[in-house]
Amino acid sequence: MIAADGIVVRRGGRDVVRGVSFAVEQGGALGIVGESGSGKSSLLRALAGLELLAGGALTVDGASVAALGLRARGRVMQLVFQDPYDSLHPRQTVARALAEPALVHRLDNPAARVVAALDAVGLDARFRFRFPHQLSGGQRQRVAIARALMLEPRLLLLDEPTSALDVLAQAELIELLRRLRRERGLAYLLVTHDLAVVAQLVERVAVMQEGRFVETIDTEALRAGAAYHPHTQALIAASQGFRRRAR
Amino acid sequence: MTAAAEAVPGSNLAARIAAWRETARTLAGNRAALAGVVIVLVLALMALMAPLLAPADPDVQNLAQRLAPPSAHHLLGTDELGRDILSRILFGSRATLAVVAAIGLSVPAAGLAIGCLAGMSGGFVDLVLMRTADVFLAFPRLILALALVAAMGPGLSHALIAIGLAAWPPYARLARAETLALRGRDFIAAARLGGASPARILVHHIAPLCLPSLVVRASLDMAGVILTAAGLGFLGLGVAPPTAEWGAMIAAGRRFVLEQWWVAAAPGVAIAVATLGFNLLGEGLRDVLDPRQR
Amino acid sequence: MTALLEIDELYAGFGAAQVLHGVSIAMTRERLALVGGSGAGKSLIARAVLRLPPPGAWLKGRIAFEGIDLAHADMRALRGRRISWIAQDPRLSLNPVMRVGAQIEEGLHLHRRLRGRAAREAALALLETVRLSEPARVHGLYPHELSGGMGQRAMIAMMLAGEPDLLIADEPTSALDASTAMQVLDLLDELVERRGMGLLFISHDLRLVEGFCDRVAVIEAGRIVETCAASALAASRHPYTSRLLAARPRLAP
Repeated sequence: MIAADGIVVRRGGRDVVRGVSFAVEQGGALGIVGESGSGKSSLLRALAGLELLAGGALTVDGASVAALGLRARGRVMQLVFQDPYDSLHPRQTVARALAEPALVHRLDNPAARVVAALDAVGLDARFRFRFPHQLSGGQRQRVAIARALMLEPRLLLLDEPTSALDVLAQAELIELLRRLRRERGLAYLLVTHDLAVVAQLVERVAVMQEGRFVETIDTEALRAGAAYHPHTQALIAASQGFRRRAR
Repeated sequence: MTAAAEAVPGSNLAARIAAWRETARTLAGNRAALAGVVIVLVLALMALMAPLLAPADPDVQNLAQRLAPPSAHHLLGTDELGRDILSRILFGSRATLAVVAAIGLSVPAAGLAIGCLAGMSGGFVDLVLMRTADVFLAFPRLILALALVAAMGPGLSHALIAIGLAAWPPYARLARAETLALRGRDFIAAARLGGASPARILVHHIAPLCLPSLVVRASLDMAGVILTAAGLGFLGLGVAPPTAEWGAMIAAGRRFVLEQWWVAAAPGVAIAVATLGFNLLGEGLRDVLDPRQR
Repeated sequence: MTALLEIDELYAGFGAAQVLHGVSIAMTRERLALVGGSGAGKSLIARAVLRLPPPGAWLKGRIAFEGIDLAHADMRALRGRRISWIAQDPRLSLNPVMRVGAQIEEGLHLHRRLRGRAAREAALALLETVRLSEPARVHGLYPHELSGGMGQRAMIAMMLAGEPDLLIADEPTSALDASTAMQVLDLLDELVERRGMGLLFISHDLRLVEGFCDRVAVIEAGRIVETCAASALAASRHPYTSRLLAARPRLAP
């Protein structure tokens, strides 16, 4: 459904993404893992259209996406941001924030859509008229997902959606994301540094280092530790948790 | 948690009102801010109800009673033309309130519009708008107001235009700085992904967030505006006589300041209290509005 | 032996909202983890020990450090010198307008009375201790020029300047990616062991502290619900502890 070929993203004079190619089929899911500074967030934001591509092509169903404006792109793919404390407008109620995409695109019955979106993410309708500062991190992230669902996109770009949450909220959000994908046949492009999280949500994982994919591996193989590239192996080792060394 | 805190708002409006109530409650907890609110309200009341509150007609002269000290009959004494000072103070507050209302409502709004536009557009538009602001900013406010009034002639409306033109640049710069900072935030990016045009983002998402700092600034600024207006009045470039105006009253009372001090002191204290009121209100508002940005 | 840190029936809250409901913790020179979900009050406990409550917070209860009642102690002599603290995000806890070296030397001046060249050398030594590869270069950098991992190491260097007996680490790796987090933990492991410090490790990740700490205190909604040895965690029967353990996803089952 979505295919990227040779994506290059430039930031501050440097190439932070240096020729990345991948394909995700309808309803499929690709994880992108890497350390901080590997370029994964820049890649996602560029795919969403928030930053210009310095090179490469992005197509959806064979048609180039570059021709689409941000407005049309938003009906195909949406982005869920990393920081739940920054992704919602501080002075807008949940209802107002969720209604925004519907209002802009002049969809019918925005109020009903808002309630439906909240229901889809497991939040009661009475959360509608709360302000973000009255919600917990996990609840805010759910609202962010609800907002992403308002335009009924086919692909969700998820930028470290659980990194800012505590372990309990994270578990709930992972469960929510799994359920949404099952129920709606959404495709996911999930960026994270946490291998354990990514393994819960996707079938394939691309390992990113310094702007390039160094390996693409099935989740099963990842779990079994059957990785070729040393960087992947290092990431797997790091995910095992801390072991005190004899000193 | 009280029951009121648990009640869930049933609509956007209800949620907004609840948020306002919370702000008001915090403001009320700050004694100095409360004093500021009271002073400003009293000023507004004085101006609106002057005809009802004033014991005498402010323009009626009584030369036999000129420069009379404060007494039961004239609570603040009389000026050099025998007019009751208390009544002139009360009526003089109208000029002050007119200045505050006219400037306080129009200038921050204009500054917000210009600053937000500059911040959002960038490039040439930003350059032109900000350099224009720099030109007006380069002149000390009173001097600029003086020059403009000298060119256009005395009168309240001219004084207002003069003060307004000198006062807008800081608001534009403030709005522009806030706009630049907000542009990069995730929730603005989310609005863009939702398909909102830059104009829509500016009006619905960015401008409302610039308001708190502009409101605080406006309140603190009103103190200076009152002084500038009084300064113009003092120099005879504001309201035309015989209309009561605090600055002009001080100018008139200057000659007698050593012996009949009340002629100049009364309007002087009025200006000082009004200025203090706006300063206290502004500081209180800053404490209440700024930290809630998050 | 006097306990290193004794928290006795600590109550705390913000105005009418109560966050801590009688928390009691005692620790020696060991590694004690304080684990719970966000909002459970963990950071408030850290601030209570340092006697730096956030604005609007009230505290009630006895806290003693090496027998000294902190309510009556000269906290400025203790903070940094005997009790130190590492926060979650170094970008928020390092002074953004001071170079890293200057901040470390400020600590050295305050706590070890070092100045000039002696201070600079001690600062460089500290930066080397925290395994920064180019200590002299980092010494001259501003916090925003550091990556997350480097910033955290710089913070650790700064906090060790006074050679404290107790280190409070408030979610020190939560803002770091997995590899960097492991490196920082390894560093902390070595430093704590070598200097014989007590460590109060605050986290929301039970699995993380299982391998790192000696004992674990689990806090839920402002109450300590369980305290046990880290090795006994997996066998815990307490429902909240089990929930926390189960919540962390595993790569390899």
